[in-house]
Amino acid sequence: MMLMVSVQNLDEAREAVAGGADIVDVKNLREMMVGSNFPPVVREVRNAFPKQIHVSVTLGVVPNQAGTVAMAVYGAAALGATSVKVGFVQSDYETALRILRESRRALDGFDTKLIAATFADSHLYQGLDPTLVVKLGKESQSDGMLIDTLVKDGRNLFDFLGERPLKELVLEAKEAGMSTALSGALKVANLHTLVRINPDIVGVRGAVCTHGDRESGNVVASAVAALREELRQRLTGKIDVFAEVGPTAPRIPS
Amino acid sequence: MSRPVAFTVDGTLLTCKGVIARLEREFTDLPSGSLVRVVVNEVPNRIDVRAWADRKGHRIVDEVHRDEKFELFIAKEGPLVSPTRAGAVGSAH
Repeated sequence: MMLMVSVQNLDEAREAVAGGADIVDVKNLREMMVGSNFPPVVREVRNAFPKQIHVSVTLGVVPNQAGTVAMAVYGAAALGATSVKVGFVQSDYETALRILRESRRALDGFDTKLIAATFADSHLYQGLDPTLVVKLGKESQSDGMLIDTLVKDGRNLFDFLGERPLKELVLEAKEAGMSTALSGALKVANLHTLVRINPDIVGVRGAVCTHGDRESGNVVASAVAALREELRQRLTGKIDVFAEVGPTAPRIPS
Repeated sequence: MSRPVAFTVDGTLLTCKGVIARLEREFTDLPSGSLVRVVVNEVPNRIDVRAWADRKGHRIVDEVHRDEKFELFIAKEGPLVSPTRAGAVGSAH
């Protein structure tokens, strides 16, 4: 399982990598909390690390304008992003699919991976059903899927989607050949559940920021390293995440 | 008992696409009965691989745990056959 840390600038990216992050996810909290950062910031971060450190670019919640989004996707690829995340809230399914297909076309000739993203709490905004992300990913030939949250009020991913439906979505996406990522105000207390679900990537920010504050805090290497170690202990079985649910628990959907 | 292994899927190398996605791809064109070695170093991946094999009708014919790695030997559904791919890397015990 790879650890993805959301960063806003190069200083935070350096802290994240020093703490053991596998992926730095460049975003801009001032734009809808999950918005895009500026091209010079992405370029600076990309140029600071070798290719084995993945640099993802979030486009946040994209407008229902396929050309505009495809151009932004192209821009992320031209900047050398490892992946680019295209998120949908107030889009209907067909519009989201068209945007992703155009984004796919925009990535022709690049190694940059296309990630379809939905938000577990999108019903709060009368938005797209987040469980459609796998169908969207498959039909658009996206490389991966992400489920995140928009609200940053203390609730997190598991307040909106439970372990079992998330496990089913992750497995379905894996079997379709996609990478799978989960994020959304995740904390150490959520690691047991996350490891049972076993996405390929777990994304965090607040949990590795000073004072646990994703907005006013900054990413610090020591917090990233501590989370990385907590994760490692669960992945290696030194902490048994399956013990609390027992051997008959629904580890795998039927 | 020693059976030829067609190839190995090394799930210990960190990539965005995990071991299940790679197994899906690798098994698509694999002859029935072929034996594949899968190496993982994370407990949930071991559980997922076993569950995946069960769901797909493949058989786990052996599993070895050493050096903090799990080696699973999976026979694709159907009778066992000799490997047809280059790069055979070992034998199941």
